[in-house]
Amino acid sequence: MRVHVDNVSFAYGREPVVSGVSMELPEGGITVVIGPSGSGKSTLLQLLCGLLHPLQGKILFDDEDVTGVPTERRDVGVVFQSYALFPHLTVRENIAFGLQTGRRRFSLRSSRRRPSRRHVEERVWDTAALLSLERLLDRKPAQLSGGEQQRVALARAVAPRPSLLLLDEPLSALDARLRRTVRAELAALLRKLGTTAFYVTHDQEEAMLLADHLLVLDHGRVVQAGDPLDLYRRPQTPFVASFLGEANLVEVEARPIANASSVLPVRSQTPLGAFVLPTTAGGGWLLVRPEDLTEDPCGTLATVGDARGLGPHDRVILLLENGTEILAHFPPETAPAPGSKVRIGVRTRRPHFVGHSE
Amino acid sequence: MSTAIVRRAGIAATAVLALALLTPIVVTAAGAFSRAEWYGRRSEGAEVQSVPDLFRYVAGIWGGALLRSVEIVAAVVPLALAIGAPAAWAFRRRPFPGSRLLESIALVPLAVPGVALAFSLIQVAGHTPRFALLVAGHLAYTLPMVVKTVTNAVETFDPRLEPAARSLGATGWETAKRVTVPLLTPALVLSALLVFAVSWGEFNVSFLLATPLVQTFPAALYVTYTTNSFPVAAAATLIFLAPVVPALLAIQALGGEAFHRGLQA
Repeated sequence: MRVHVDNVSFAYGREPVVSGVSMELPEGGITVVIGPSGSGKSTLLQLLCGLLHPLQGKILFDDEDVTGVPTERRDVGVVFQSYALFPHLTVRENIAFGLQTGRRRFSLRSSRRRPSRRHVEERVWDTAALLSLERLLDRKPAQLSGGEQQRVALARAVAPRPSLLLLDEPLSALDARLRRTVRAELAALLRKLGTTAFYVTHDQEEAMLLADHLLVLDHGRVVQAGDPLDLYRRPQTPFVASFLGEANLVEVEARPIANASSVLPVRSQTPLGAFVLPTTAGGGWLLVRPEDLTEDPCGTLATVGDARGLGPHDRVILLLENGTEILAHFPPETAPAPGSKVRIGVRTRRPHFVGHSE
Repeated sequence: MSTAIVRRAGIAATAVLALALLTPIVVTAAGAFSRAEWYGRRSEGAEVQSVPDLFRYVAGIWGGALLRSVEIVAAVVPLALAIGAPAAWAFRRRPFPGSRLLESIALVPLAVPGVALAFSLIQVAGHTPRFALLVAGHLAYTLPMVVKTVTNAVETFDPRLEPAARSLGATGWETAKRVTVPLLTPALVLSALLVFAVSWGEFNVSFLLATPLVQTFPAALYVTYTTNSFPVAAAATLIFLAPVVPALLAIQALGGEAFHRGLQA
């Protein structure tokens, strides 16, 4: 299902939470929304599933206006942050819940009758098999581990085969180690299902791993949207740059340009050396990711402040001569000793430039 | 050492309390089942010759009041639940401007003396049938218990459960039937028992609102203590206690945390 959100706004009382958000969820793809807490990402999810209704703007599912349609009549499945499993029902009954409600979604296309008991049983069994829950079907949610509860929540949401799957920080209740394995399983499962998905998170790794389409939200507005790697390499604002991973933002001073109509790239001097930058009347920042830095005999002289091996790479803090602190990632076990001098260069010939947006 | 002393003191205190509570019941039971001539039974004359006779006699004079009490309880329990439970749910799940104030006001009758409540009911609606007034008085006393018990229960379950049911296609009714009511069942049973016990034993309001024709059983008990012989009063008391004791025991069993845990597991 294609989902189109057009200039949607929402406020709690006078506090605006979502301000003029427009977005398009690609059919069958995973759209991830990332943002700090309070950025309005969960509210956006609730607007999509119809638990909240926008004060302004429109939401279209496959060109059909669903703006005022209540949750139970939208063809959505939701995985809540706290899972919200029904504590009085077994795993089997939790998964079957959406197959036995008034909407009767999955039989809608063939007939409007309530699905037969056999049909429900088969669907519950298939869904349980998909998520390896076969052996837990007779348990109550309180008897399950966090990871198992998460899988039941997912099974319950996908069992009716919704056209749009909404996931509200589904991994945030798991501990870090479990989160990593579940994250990979979840990514594989979502691709296998091929349902249009909308996934809310504040975790950058999760976003990069899952997203086909990534939106960065801040203060209720979409700051930037696009391909996740493109957002990582070419953020339009310092906020996006530093929210998606670690970033060195090297200040580039504004230079009055004699010929204001010039569109030719100019060579600018920065603390990390001279680079060819797009024409800039105003100043901005050079985005240098820690992994972009490398030892370079012709590079800028820096003092090693602190170095620590993290396993996959060594994390090194460098002090440039003008006092700027730079974070660099060196290959494992190649970090220079603290206090020593190194020459560093930037791997990419034309690093990304983030201009002052205002 | 000192904990042993504390424990023994606790057991002793409990024993004294149990004795104080049980002795009157034991004496009453002895009174009701003993041979009538042991007590000053002359006022009842030849009608009370044996224990079955005694109960038949009591039923004869107080049967009307007993029936009235049954009718009142039968009206008050469902009404209190029907009004109190949805209100309690709304106070927590659909708060509206002033709902906190309303919730506090709903608890006020607990602090108002029954006499004052009864008089104000007569003042406001003196011409209403007495039966309706009695039901209203009992509701005023029992609604706070329903509201309190059910709001507590609503607070203990995840506010996302109802939205989750909606997202799975359940209508408002289906959500209530399949999620909200099952989860509130222990609280609803508990409040029904509380309302029953309180309404059944309510004296202050009932005594003041009672007329010779519309009288409740506790009000009748008062009359029997002041006018009848002890075996008659004792027999009436036992009839009164018969449904209350199981209800109180059930409240004790249900009120425990174990019941809620049992439900979840």
